[in-house]
Amino acid sequence: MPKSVIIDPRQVCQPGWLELGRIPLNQYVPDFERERQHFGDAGLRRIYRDMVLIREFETMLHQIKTQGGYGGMACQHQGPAHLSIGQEAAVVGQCAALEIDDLVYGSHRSHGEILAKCFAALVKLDETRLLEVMRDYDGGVCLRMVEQDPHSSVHDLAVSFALYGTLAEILGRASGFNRGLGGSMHAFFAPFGSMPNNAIVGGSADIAVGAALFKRIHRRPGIVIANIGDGSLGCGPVWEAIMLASMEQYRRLWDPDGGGAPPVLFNILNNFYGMGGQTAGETMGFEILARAGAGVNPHNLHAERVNGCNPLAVAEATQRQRHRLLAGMGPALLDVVTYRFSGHSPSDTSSYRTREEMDLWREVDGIRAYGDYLEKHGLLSAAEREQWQREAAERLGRVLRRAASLETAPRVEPESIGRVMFSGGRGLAVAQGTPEVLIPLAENPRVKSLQEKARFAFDADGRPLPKSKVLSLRDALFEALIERFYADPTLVAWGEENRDWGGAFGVYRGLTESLPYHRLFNTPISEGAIVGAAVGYALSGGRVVAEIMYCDFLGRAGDEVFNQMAKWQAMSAGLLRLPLVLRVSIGSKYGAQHSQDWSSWVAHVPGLKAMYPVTPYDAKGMLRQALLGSDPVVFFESQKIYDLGESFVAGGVPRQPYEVPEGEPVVRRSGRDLTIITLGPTLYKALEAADCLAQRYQVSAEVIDLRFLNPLNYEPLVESVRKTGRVVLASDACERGSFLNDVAANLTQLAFDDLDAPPAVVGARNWITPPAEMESAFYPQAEWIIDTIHERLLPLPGHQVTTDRSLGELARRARQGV
Amino acid sequence: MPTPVILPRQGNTVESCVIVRWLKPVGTEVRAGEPLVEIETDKAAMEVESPATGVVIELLFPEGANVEVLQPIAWIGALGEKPAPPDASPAPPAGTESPLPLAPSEPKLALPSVPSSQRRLPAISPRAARLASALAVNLDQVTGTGPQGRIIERDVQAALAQRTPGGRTIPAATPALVKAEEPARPLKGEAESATAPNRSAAPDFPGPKREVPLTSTRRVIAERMRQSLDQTAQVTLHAAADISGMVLLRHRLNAERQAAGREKYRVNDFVLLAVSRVLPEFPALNAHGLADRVLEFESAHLGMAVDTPRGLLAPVIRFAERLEFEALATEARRLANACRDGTVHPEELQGGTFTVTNLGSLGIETFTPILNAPEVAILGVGGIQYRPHPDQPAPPVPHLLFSLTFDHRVLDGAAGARFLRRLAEVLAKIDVLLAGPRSESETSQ
Repeated sequence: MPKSVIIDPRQVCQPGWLELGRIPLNQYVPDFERERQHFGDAGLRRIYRDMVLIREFETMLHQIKTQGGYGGMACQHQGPAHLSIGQEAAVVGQCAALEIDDLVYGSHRSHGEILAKCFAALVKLDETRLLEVMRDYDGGVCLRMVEQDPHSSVHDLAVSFALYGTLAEILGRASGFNRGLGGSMHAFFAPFGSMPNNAIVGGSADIAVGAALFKRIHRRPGIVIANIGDGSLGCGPVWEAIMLASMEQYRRLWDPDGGGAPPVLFNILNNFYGMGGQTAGETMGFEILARAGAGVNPHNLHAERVNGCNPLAVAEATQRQRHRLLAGMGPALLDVVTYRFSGHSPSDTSSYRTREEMDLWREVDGIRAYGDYLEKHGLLSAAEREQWQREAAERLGRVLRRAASLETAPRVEPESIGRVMFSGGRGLAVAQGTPEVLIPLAENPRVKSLQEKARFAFDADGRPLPKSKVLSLRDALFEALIERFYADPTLVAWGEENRDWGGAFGVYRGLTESLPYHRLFNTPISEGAIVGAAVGYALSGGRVVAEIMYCDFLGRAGDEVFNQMAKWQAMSAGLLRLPLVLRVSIGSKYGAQHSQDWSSWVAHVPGLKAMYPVTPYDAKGMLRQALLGSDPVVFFESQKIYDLGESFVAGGVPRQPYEVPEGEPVVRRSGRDLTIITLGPTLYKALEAADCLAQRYQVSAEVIDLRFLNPLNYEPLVESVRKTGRVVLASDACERGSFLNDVAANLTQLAFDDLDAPPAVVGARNWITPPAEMESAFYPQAEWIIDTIHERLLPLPGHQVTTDRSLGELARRARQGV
Repeated sequence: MPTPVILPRQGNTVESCVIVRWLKPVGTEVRAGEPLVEIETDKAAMEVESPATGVVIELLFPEGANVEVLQPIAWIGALGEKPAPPDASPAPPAGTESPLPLAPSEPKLALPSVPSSQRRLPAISPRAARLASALAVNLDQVTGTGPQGRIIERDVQAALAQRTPGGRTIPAATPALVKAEEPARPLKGEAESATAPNRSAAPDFPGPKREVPLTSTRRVIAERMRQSLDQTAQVTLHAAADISGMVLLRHRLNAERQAAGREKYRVNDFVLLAVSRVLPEFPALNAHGLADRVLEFESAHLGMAVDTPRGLLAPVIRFAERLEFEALATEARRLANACRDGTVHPEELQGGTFTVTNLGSLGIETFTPILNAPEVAILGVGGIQYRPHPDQPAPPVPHLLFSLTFDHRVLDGAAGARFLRRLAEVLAKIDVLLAGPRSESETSQ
């Protein structure tokens, strides 16, 4: 309990000096005999060969991009190719220190990392196992392409396999490692520990922390590396990731037998330029990147600078950090000094650096220097160096021939992309085992207290019960969650104030008593890392519920939600699953930055499921629905109604688990004359409007609660609109760009001939949210709905409008931008 | 060089096709293999794929045109490219008349634009327009009460009420709203008059009507049916077969199949099986009646009437007598589905020697099918009737009702009767037919 850690003013106000400790810079000292003993002759020679192969691979891509072919073979490639020519030693050296279980997440410039990790991993497997991996991968499509050429051994074949799978992926072919759907910047090959590479600068940092948390929580072997660039030190989510990875609670509060901090290495491939901005001299102030470690924790993240032009220096440093991480002493940081001779991309003319600088680095080119080192010690001859260079070019020529032709290596059928957007799995996540809990479910204090509560908001005579006696929406969410926590061993939850406090809105109250720290913990105020780490945890095979306290903070996790959570299932061509539920609470009364319904953003981005329950029955059934699936779900909740009891489903909220069918809107009240479709708590305003329409104007309104944004079944909506001929749609989202406009447009298409008027959307004003006392001027009210019906659908005899819902006003607001 | 799109010949006897719908307008990009146009023969609908990748530069026929096969119907090329001169296109088959391509300068497939002066004012909602059309309400006299004076549903209902002072026969979707407009009329009385049928309130004679052009499938059916009755002498025999064994067997088999998640056998599958096995014993019924001779077939190529959205089709199960039960049922299901979704190949609709048509599943007891000429017999399968058991007081026995129509020009009643009797025998012991491996029954003969 953090309550046990007393913050004592006498202590924190003590005068003194903070000693930062020393950070080693390039302390590697060559010791050939020791290295020979460690890596063996073959290992040392392989490091050279791998570097040569990677450089030739990147050179080939450069020629394809700039000359339209390689080695006499024509090949066109329109997509990206961020080459790492010059950085080979940094990645081959790293992988020389790694096992297959060690996972490497990378960046947009990671072709070399994929190849280096694959080359290093494949020698650790025997022929049978190696062949099995290649055969099993995506039905053996990739293997069938390479095995058409003769190879001297299974391991030799596997080298071509890695080159081919990566190249075909870059060229967007169905036989690529990710069926061409990831491409150059997202390719990976998980069986060898090469994990998703990320086109967003620094994007791998928080994902890697999540993957490390998975290893830590489930006691899996190996470490996780985030290969990110020096430019990414300017990215907020990278710092968030570092903060999340270095939380004191791992050492102080978590189970001491658990293994310490998550084993993650922030490996900064420091080539001194973030695209064209010089990080050390121009765009940042750290001077020496390794200094960044000093800002994080007492051991400076074990930061050190290492010469990335020497593979053996990198291997030694990586190994040192790996031992620390496996001992639970992480996280760690390496400032790996390197240099890319190639431009950022083929269009880069290197206008930001001098020829003189580039020449200086060419003189210390890692491949040549390391070749000389081996030659000096008699491990490699000049003739061999020439021969290996020639063989690399020949091998790549063969690999390209199998990948370049669209006849033999076609792209995927476009419609197949639709089939990998969601994985659609049901049931438990991959990790088996017994869920770790602290007490039996029946002894949980909140479970016990909920036993006493009424499950329906009204008594037998239809009179409302006091709120304190009724199971509320927040209780219903708790019931769904705790049931899964006792059933699903991989399920964990994290976010701000999740433990002890019980979540800012009391949904998690009672979970602390049942769950050990590693299944429920507080994070720093780092929305980006909260979601990014959840992505990493989920794609490692776990299930996670992450929380964004206010929908307004979604912007802080924008990249993680819209680029990471939404995309990885499809960018992996369905190889990855993402069982991740992101609870997002929509506020009110707290002004402009705490009261916004941003569900429309989420609905707009492909790859996310989105739901928004507003009754306790739905809250429990839909959360279970989300927690049993294998897809990323953004689960919206409204702070306006956490204390509401169930008032629709007779019999109230069932005690036993149940699911609400995915994508199905629900008719809350049936009617004849018009349809009101709502999303979110506006349902209750719509019911008020429906009462008024019936009493004052004898108009019978059907009220439908959308519940789901995506996927969404339009059939019940169309059926209702066909019947009534009129539809108004309302939600708390600002009207411009509201998802309801999408629903309205689709209903116009689907039921045009049955419409008596065009569908009308009622949203919140396109303003900031005003003070709590003025919210009725901002969020849709029952009267707005009736006025809209009167003005745009069906003039109501004798109705006096109180708001201007005319078309002229609609046009005026649009013109004014409000 | 532009590539012509040639209208393919779908089956040996297809001479022309109707262009149903162009899927790619002029100017759009199309990939080789991508569907370009939907066409329909008298037997089936299908899509023609683009032979090349490029831009649609010309469509030579409007939708609805009947076009002879094996000639160009469109050109694919580069943007801005002109179609090849006429002599560069493959010559149409000799003896066929080349249809006149539409003048290339005309915007052939563009939507007709309505001059704004002709647009109807005030506007009317689609729902109100449909109601007005259905009730033949003249909109000239109607005043719109919707937003901006739009005529909405209630205005049409009000106009109708005015036209027929005796009351309204059309059930109102929004009685309350109409009442609000006409406060003098009590809601209760109106509700009563709305439910009471009132002849005087009928719309103008003959009421609304709709013109339905005949599809090419329908036209072919019409011609064939008329020809069949004109040229043959049709007699229909009725009989019933004890199917108590078959009912039990089907029930048992389907329970297993359902458990295995497979499609159930239908009664008709058992009938097809029995017919396929009995028919070779009666070559006179498995025949084509031609002007001067009869062609008797050794194998049973069973036509099977299928009701489809485009009209009746009769796909043929070839060599049905050689198919094991499962294969026969599967083929029957496949053909029926292909007919319904329009993917049946024209060849699959030809070559039948005997047809089975089933209306029992639609609740018909018995009926008199019309011969599918030149076939000389057709079996109608009717409903199931429970008949008293001969040994009272056992429960009634299910019987399947059959009607056999045959061509009395080439056959006599006795032949048909013998066929029906044999069919009933086989159906009564259908379990034997299904259980005994064929080789055994052959050796025992």
